Amino acid sequence: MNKYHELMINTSNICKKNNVDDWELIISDSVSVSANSFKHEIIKEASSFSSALSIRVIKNGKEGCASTQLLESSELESLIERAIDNATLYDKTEKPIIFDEKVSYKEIEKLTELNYNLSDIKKLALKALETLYQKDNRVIDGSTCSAAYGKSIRYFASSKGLELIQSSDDAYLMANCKVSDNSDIQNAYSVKEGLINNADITDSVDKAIKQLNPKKIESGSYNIIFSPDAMNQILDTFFSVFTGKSSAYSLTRYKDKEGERIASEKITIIDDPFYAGYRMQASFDGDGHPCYTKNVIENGVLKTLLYNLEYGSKCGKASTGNGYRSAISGASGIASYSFYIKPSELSLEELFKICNNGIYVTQMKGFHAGANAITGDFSIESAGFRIRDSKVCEPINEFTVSGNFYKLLENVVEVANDLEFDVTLSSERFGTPSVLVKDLAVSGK
Amino acid sequence: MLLCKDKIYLALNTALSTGADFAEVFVERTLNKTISMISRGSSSNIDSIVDRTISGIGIRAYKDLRSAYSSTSDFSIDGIKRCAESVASSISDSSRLVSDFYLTERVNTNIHKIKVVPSSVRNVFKVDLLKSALAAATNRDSKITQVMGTYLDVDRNILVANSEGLLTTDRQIRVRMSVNAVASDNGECQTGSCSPGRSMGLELFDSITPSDIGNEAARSALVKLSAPYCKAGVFPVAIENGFGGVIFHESTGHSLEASSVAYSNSEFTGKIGEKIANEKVTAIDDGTIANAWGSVNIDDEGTPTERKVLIENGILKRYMVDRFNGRRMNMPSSGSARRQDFSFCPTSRMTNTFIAAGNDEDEDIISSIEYGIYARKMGGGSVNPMTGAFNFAVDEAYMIEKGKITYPVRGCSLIGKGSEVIKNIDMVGKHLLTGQGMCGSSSGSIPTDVGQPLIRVKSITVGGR
Repeated sequence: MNKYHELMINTSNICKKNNVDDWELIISDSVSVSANSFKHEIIKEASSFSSALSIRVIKNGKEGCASTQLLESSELESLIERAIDNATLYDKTEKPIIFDEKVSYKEIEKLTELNYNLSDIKKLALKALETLYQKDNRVIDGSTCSAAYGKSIRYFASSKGLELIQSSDDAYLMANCKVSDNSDIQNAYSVKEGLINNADITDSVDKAIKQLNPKKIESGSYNIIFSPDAMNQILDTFFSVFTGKSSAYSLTRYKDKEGERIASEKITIIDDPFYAGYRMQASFDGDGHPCYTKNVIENGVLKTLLYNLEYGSKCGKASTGNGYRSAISGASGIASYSFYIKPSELSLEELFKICNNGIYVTQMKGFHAGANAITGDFSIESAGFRIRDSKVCEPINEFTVSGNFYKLLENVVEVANDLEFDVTLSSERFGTPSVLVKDLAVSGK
Repeated sequence: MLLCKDKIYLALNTALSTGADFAEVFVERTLNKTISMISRGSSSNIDSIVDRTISGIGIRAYKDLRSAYSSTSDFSIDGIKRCAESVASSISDSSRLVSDFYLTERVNTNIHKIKVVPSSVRNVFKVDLLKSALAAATNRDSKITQVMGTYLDVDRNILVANSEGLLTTDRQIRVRMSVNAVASDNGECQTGSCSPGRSMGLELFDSITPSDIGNEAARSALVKLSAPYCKAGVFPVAIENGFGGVIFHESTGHSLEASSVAYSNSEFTGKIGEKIANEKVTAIDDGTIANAWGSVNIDDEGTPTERKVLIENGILKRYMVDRFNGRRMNMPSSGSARRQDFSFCPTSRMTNTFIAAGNDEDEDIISSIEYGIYARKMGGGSVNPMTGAFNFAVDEAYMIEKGKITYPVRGCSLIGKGSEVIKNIDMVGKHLLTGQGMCGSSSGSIPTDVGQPLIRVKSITVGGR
């Protein structure tokens, strides 16, 4: 804290000298280690010691930002000059806002620090790779495992007297398993996070083997069950439709739809900064505003979009504590926390029964190109399994699933109980159970 | 000098102290400015300005086929020692192997002349450029309801030194403007974009005016407004020049990178000298094209970039190789090591990658298709090099019926397997053009050019509805 406090005092003094009315300072400091195993050896290992500092200034009713990775007091002077220069371009009609309320911040769950060192991480990556080879003799060289651990500190201070600090750590173990039966090669991933000493990533072996020798599927309209892996990518890709920024610029169909039914009644989406057991919980956002848990969609009804101070004000709403500001780039916006579709009590097998005949999509790829968050349209390369008579049948690949995100949420038939989150090592992540959606266009043979 | 020689020696000698056979220091100071604007109707506002200094050191050591990497943004002696000791403790094999070395500076030929250095130009001038692009898009048609534009400049200064005595630097300046227009009609909306960029200064806008950029984005959005959804199936597809080259980048280019090939994780491992593509296909990766978006004088290991013929008349000739993966492949670096910034360990990546011009007339390519798709503008895509499965989106597509381009369609994507699609490229036009993109992979996001003339793929799976 002392190092950051000293930078804060220097910032305050330089801002005063430059007649800056208000300022905000964000610092991030992180340390990480990682290792990759291949062919029974560690082939790559890395460590990182990274710092970053971002300053936002408000002068004469205009705001500007600048950021650097050099955490030195000598850098501050030029950084603040750059931020002031950028502020001269500010041309919005709204006055910039700085958080100025006396509030309390919810304490985050105290979790024991994992504290893996590079040697631990290397051992875990090696051991994990051996478990793949041991699981099945169809596992071949080319399979890789990686393990990583990182801890970070986030510091926020402002001219309004706020001084907040939070630290967290997390680790993951990942397998990319490659299998061959001499006629085909397939690969599949598995990733586990948190306490990874005994994490089992051999489900990647089963997934890859099940995908061997896939068939092609006839083009047509199908009922589709998206696995959590696949559905998480969909939710991540279209997340911006739930933000106040998209609403302010009319880039989401959910603008002014709070209180209206916008999705199947099976859909409840929760944004939770305090998801129990998660190692990257957050008590304050990028504006210094307190975080809280909220339902975004409840039984199909839109309850709220997500706002930071700026876009909340623009849309006539209060901040939902979803402000984001990067210490590395200074970029600001709206971010989620643990943003997830609430699971039901139905098992995956029960979901297959309801589907009866359709496709179980387990892999989707290319969202950055094949999806448009403004129109909601997507057309995505997919792989998975045919479902017939409520049973998972042959693997299928090289087909696309096309549709529209807004329609997809309306056409959800059921969700299962197998909620899984993606692994991001950050406070922002997405989670869903398997989801059954009716009538999606599939392009195959 | 980005880092004084004493600190460079300290970093290299510390990294070598436990038996590494090679050590390298990469130092970076990059100024990055991004100005984003949004316009609705006649009013436009600056949405955000990102003004960022990327500053740090990456230290790497090899021992045989093992590599250790550490990065830091702390330039103090203690910070550098901590970073280098982390590398040394990873190698931790024996006592020092490499004998003393002397750093000799090499000055590289600069093939990318910069007339107007972006950091010397006032922000207000950059904002004016962006405003004229937005105005051109908005004024094209009343159905253009919103336009978003981004101006980007990057001034990247790097230093590379290694235990073979190399000490070299490079300054890499890039400018790009990206405009995304939204066209709306009857509750329906579509988007169009245009994003040219070059390794040059503000003189970029002498050859490509901001209004050209705005106009093109608006045109592309408007075309799709009334378009029906693309039909799904397996068709012949004609892919236009320029960004169309993303088909080669995704379907084949990534699978020719040493980061896949060295680990037998590519369809093309061990296939040098074999016919892997239709004989009409000659493909090149060339980092030496003056002022091209993907060009650099030296790669991020300090090796000068080169022009590499990857495939010649269908025969696989070369891979794109970095120094570390080259060890596993017994191949020298081809100047292909790249990284987003110092926090990433470099690996083999593409620069400007394109299918060379062929001999077919554009008209003949279109008229040869009885029923298929004309992909005028491509979106991005991705590939799994292990299986070769790739996908990419067609941003602007048209139906071809009886040899004629008939009407626009939307929601079109192409999928397939790399090793199959390059065999199916059976016509190659004469007019090579490139397009700019950002390519994401294990060493981060880097600028790359893709390119090709108009080509015909005789059969490919088209995703639609």
